[in-house]
Amino acid sequence: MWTMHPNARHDAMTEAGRPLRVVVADDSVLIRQGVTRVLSAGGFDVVGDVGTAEELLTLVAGHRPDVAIIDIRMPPEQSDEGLRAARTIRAMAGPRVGVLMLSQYVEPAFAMTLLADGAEGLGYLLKDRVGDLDDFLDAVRRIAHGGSVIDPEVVTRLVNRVQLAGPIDELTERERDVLSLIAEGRSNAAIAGRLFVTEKTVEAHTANIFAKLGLLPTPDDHRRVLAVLAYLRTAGPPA
Amino acid sequence: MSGRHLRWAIGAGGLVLGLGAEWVQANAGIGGERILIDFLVGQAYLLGGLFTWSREPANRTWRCMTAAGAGWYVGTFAALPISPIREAAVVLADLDAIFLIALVLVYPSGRFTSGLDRRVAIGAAIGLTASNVVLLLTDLPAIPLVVGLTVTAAMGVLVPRRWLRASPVQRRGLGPALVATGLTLLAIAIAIGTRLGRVTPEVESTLLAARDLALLGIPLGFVVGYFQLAADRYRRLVATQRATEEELRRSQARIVHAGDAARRRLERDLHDGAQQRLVAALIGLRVTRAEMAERSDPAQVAPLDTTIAELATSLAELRELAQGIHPVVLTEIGLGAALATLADRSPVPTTIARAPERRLDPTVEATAYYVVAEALTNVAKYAAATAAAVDASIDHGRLRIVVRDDGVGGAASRPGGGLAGLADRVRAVGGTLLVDSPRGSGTHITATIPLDPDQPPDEDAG
Repeated sequence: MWTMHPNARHDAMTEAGRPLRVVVADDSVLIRQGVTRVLSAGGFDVVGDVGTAEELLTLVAGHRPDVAIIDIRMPPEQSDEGLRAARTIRAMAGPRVGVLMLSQYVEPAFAMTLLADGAEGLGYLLKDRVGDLDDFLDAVRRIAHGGSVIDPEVVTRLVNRVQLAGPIDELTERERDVLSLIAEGRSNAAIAGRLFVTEKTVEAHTANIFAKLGLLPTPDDHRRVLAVLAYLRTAGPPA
Repeated sequence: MSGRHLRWAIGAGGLVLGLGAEWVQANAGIGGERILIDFLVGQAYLLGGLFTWSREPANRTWRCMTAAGAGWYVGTFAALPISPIREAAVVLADLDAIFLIALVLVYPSGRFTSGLDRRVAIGAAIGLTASNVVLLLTDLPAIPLVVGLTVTAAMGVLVPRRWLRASPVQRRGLGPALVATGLTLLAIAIAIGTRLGRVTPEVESTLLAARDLALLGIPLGFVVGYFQLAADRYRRLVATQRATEEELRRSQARIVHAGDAARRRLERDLHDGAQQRLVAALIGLRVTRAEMAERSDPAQVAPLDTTIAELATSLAELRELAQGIHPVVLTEIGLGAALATLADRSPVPTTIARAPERRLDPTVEATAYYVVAEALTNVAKYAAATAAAVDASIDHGRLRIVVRDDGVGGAASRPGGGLAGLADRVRAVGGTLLVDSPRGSGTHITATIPLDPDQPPDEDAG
């Protein structure tokens, strides 16, 4: 059996030292098995897996997991049951239960719908991402700890819009990279690791970006995700 | 000979026949007034019959009327002392009555509506002719009297019977036949009466004049009846055509609706089937690869990476395909979000000025979506534009979508092209599509779609 690096395993724990508890909801048994397999190998405690939104709500109410991993489309209507279940869970438990939405759609609109009332402990990932084992486990962990995760492909779709013009044109290549990583929900430390620079440099880039785009600096990662996503979403072509 | 030439020939023949008959009457010392009326009655049948015949060549009613007009003059030639014209004229003297009876019974369809009608018409023809033969040979008026009365009685029964059996719509058309029968009965009664010869010449002359006037009314009644029926038919035709057009549009709307539903289903099947399985396979493969990489030489794992990359690419392609089949954002979130996605993906910078915030009928939303999708595709392909704008607003029960660009213009709808297909689709849901694309001044595409596809709003509304 493949296992996570011991250090990484340690991250799959709460401060109290117990493994992070996760529930999985997807109507495909194969996907549920795959996700459970990856999570278990990563040191998470999968306390249950179900195939419908209704069962999910019962499961969450009974177990109070750290993260619920939810398929956006589930029976009975194969519509947006997953999104609705996510909203119900958040209304019930607040940010204490993180929600990771798994989807087959590279659609910023769905991610924005999920993040409509805040980004803390919320994530939107393409299902394929489950196979990027380390990245996926990292995402679940970040959500468990209140962070935000947006699929890189969704961010790419937003950033690559030809519509984008105005202040965003003034960003340097490097600043654009940093902007994308912020939109994915990465912390300064994570961005520094990705770009092989120091955290100080990232902080400087971030300050520049926010100044150029006219955004208010915000200390919380999940708030700045929202600020950046909202900017990307509404930025229009030149007048 | 074509029908038209035949009718002209009959008309000319009828005129000559009429003039000949009146010449005979004049030589017999009959008064000018009677001669004129007699001439006019025959011509009225002839002209009325020929006119309506030309309007409805397939309807035999009008040939009966024409024949009755020609027959009108035949009896007159019995006054000629030339054999065998005299004998022939006596035998055929009732041709007018024979054709008049047929006319009344076949009006307005041109066909006998029952076997009894047909038998009476044939029986009257044979009976009246035979009785005239008897009259010629024996000079006994009793038999023609009996035959005449029998025919009169039969008509008096048959026409009211038709009236009683007809539907209200058919009755509107039968009026002239009823009036004609009344007048015919009167005319026949008078004819029989005068032929019995038991009246004074003055009374006979008056009766004959009354008979002629009554007979003059018959063709006019039929021609008026013809116009009434034609107007009725036209109104029904227009109503039917409107109903057909509306039914056609509804059926097109159903086809569009069914097409949309099929695309939604296909996208759903792909999503829940192939895509789901491929994702599961991809996850499984990657976990397996990670496990193998822990135990064995990385070189051994390398071939697996190619497979994984291939699988990931197929999955991404499949995702694009499914999105192209049916845009999920449109169904799940709405037109605004779906239009934003189209704008995001457009290679030409595109703004969405306005988009309806509330959800609309799925067919309306899908139609609007495809209008914008096709328009933006055209902008990217042909317009050489630097910017495009989409505006979708609701106004007086209609969704109005305008897509404009600042490109080269000159866009036109070609049969089988994208714009033509789009126009068909918009029309099917009761809307309109306008393409305004002057060369050099950009392209404006305006689609107007009623919000309720089953009740297209009035054209003048608003």
